[in-house]
Amino acid sequence: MLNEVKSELLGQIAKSSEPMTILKSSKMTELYQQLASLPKSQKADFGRELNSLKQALLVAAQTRQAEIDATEVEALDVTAPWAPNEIKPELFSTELSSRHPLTLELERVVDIFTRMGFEVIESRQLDDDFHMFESLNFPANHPARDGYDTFRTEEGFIPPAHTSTMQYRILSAGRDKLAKGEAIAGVSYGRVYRNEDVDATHEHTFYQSEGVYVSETASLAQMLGFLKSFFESYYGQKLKIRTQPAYFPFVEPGLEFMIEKPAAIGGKSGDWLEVFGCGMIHPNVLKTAGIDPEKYRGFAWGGGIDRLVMLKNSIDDVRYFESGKLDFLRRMA
Amino acid sequence: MIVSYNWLKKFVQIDLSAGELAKEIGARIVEVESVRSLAPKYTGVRVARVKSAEKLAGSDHLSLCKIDDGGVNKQVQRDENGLVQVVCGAPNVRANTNIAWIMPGAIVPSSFDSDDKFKLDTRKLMGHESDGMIASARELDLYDEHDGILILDEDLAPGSDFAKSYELDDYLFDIENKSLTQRPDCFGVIGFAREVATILGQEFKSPTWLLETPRFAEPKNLKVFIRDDATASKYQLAQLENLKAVEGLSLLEKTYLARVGVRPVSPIVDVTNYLMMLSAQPLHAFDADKVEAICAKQGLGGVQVGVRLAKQNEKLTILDGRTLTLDISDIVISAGEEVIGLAGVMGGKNTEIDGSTQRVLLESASFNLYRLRATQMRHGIFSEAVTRFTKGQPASLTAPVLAEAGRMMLDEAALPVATVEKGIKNNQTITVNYQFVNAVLGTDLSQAAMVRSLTNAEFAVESVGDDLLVTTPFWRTDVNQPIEVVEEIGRVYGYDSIKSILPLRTATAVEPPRYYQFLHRLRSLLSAAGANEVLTYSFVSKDLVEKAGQDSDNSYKIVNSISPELQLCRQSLQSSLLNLIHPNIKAGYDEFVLYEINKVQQKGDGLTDENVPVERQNLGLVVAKKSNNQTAYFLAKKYLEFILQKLSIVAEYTNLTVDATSVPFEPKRSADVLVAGKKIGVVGEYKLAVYKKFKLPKFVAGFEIDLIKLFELIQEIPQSKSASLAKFPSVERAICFESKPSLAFAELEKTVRKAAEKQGLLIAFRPIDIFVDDRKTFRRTTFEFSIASANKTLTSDEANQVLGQITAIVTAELSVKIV
Repeated sequence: MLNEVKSELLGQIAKSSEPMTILKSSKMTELYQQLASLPKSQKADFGRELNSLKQALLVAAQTRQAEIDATEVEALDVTAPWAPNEIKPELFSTELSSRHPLTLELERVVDIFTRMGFEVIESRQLDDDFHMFESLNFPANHPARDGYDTFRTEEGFIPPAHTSTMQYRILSAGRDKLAKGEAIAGVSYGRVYRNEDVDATHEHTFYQSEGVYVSETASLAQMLGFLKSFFESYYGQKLKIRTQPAYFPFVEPGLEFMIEKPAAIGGKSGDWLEVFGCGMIHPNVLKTAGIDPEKYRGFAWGGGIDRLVMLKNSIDDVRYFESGKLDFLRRMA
Repeated sequence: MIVSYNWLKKFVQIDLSAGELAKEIGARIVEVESVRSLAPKYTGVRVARVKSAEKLAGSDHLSLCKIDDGGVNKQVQRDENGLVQVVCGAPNVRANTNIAWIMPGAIVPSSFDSDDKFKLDTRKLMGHESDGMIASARELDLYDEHDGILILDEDLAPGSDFAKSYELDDYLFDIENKSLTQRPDCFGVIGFAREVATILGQEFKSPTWLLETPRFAEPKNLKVFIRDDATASKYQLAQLENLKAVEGLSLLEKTYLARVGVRPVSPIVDVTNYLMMLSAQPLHAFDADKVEAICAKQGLGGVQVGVRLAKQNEKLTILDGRTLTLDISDIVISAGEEVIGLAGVMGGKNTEIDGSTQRVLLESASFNLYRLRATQMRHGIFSEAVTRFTKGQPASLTAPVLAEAGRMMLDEAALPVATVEKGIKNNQTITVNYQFVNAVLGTDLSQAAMVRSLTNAEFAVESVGDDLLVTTPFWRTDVNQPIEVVEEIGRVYGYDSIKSILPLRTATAVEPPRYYQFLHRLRSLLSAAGANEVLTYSFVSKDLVEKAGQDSDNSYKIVNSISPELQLCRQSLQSSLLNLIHPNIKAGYDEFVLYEINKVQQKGDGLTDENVPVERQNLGLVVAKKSNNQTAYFLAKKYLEFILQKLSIVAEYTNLTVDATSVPFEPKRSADVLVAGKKIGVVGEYKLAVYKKFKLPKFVAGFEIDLIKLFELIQEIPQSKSASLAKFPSVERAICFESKPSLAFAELEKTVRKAAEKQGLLIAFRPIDIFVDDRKTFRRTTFEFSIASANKTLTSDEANQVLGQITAIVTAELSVKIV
């Protein structure tokens, strides 16, 4: 049935002068009606086949359309280094170049953690409830989920609202290391998303970096030491630190980590900067990742990068980051 | 959540200033977002006594009042009795009452925080001098009550400071709720005060009523039920038969409600709200007669009220007037089978208390917090009650609060109460080794110090050897595991008191992952080539996807997107980049190269082993020049070749095959990019429609490369680059091949290369000129050769001979001639 329709419509497309219209053929409408009336057990398979038929027709129609359009387009020898009778193309001057301040800063952050002995993994941009919430000790309908304002796709996938979405993966991949008597030390970084209204200091798309450390002897004192050492390296100076208790279901105890705002970024004595959420990894999170919480302990931290970059570069509007404006970009390194 | 400093002081001895206390709270309980001082608002407000109030002739509402301010104000005019004259428009002003007088020169408190401050003075009203104002509760910024002036308590002396009299010389802490999600107890003043006492090192004693198990009277003609599992663990209803006798709150208590944001409404509601603010246990009052009528209508003998799940399509009109269609997982309160409330969230209109209510059923219950949260989200209701219920108020709290409500309302704790319980969790005892606590925290605390810290917060602790046997008080639903005891001890001790250290690690060098280095290398190369790195949103509009010719159904679709602009996950980077060209040209940039390295998803790629969408990581690049007659394709290709060459990769360019990434590209002017025979991406110019839709100038081209594929190939391809330099001088020669224009350059080049390789010499060659005649009948491709031997210096003749052999092979294999 599907095959018959396929060959018939492909035939029509090949001859049509308006191939895109064939995609809306009544034959297709009939198939979709048929899909709707199928029993549940057959729906998934038929739906998949119907979808692949649609894709095949689309490709054919686009190819045909391109052929039609191309009658006014001159073909190129795509294998040549330049076009006949033209001058050789030249790369632009290095002077014009710019790196995006966010990726540049992430490289720096990752570089410091690497030197501190951490492995690196980029965070996913479309993930599921298990990695985003469940494996992190947020049961379904847990009120702590409210703070994350996640987006969802039709299928229930989640563009992650924190890089902690990689924690389960780092932990379960690190079990071998624990068995060998080594520590798990991993950093993830990347893009995260929250359903927020955008203004000069809020973006729905931003960047975080995150770290986990697990060993038989990990302690909160070590975590404070790690984070202090990281920020001292990052700002190239000694720093005062402060904390406040906070609640994140995947750590216990949970803290907000603050540093005294360095003078280099306009800080005065007594100005504090909340930089990372952190804490000892909750035993439930270790257990879910197959790590025995009786034997091993760990700590984790994570936080936004955008604000650090804004402070460092005196950027007053977070919206510049994703604007693609050369006015902004060419002022960067 | 607002917490009042003065209210805390009723439960705990605080010697710190509000600012100092806020710091301690911040370090050891929860973030304090701000501290507001209330006193400045009330500097010009005094208690005064109305001595006389006469209706002003010619006005329907104004009264001429003489008030006694105790003589505190030295500026105002006084009559022969020393009284101040104020004209007042309130219907309830009368002689021999105490009122709040806002003195001339003072700012009306309700306007104090606004930009438009209302400063009072002496003015004439209907020919009479009026000094200042007799204030209503609203003008005092207490609560929304404007029907008349606020009548103060009788026992206050005229001239007293209003703020002091009502403890409004207060500070309000704005607390970051989110960090107390797991602490139902802290949503009441008593619970918060307990925390404050604990961090100040004091032993806290809860009010006795909170700890006792009250004895209630037998209810009359009332049954309660919990029908479905996981709805409620305890449900209690008290019968208040004589509503008229209910004493409401004192004005002082009302001001406490008001300052934390709850408006006084009626005696009974005020008491329930006050108790909720104290204990965190919400109470709800139903009109008992209305409930009884609902039960009678169903032919029930007596009143039967309880908890169940909603039925399919069941409807309820709630107190705010909205009619909700309930979900089968919503918990409802049901009288017989008729729903009378959305449990824990909001009562039903059908049993609302009103002016004619005589009798009340007062509900105190513990509901399933997960279901309530889902209900709250589903119906979008955010009340003080549901905020507390969704933190999980414990079952043991319902009875003490109900008994205290009886006491406050009717001086009677033994109300008739019907009770039902289902699956209550009891207090538990947790065994924690004190050395474990120190190990996790990295501290060196004594066992005794830990015991003290816990008992201050009313945990029952027994020391057995190195173990602490910790029995949690019923309100600490958050403490169930040893690690949570560690948190309690560490937090109260103060994380800032912990000395930070670094863990030891082995001295092995750590190298960033190769893939990460590869990305870094790409960015460095593109910087060297003058390109500008951009980042653009992962979410794009359906329009943008379709402009690029992509099928929007192949994009994952966000169901709760901020706007249609951000509805689809992008399938490739091209359309985001193309979208930036026109605005940047308009902004005055005549030529630029933009690139982005980011992830994209196509539904067609399916799912990974983890059942999450396959993600590609692409490098997308576009070159653009505002006005240029050259062929853009070759500049895009130049960028690609530059990168690949630096990575020691040789690519082939073949006919474009159509897929979701290549679909915006024009097949006649684009190519698939192949490395080791595998497609890694596409380079080219775009379809005419794409130029039109994105308002592109003619000189625009780009490429999109799948970096994960490219990286994998780099790992597989043996890197055999010979860097040995010729030791003898080379001879340079140029040769021009004439062919039909249709002969692919790569074909010619490949044939030349093969021929050159056969010579057993060190031969390098590169194209230097490509010419096609006007009528496009022939093409002349000129290569420059550099020929050297590894063993000797070549003579000119020898070089010519080699070239002759090469040209012979090429002309034999291809339809070309040498010119």
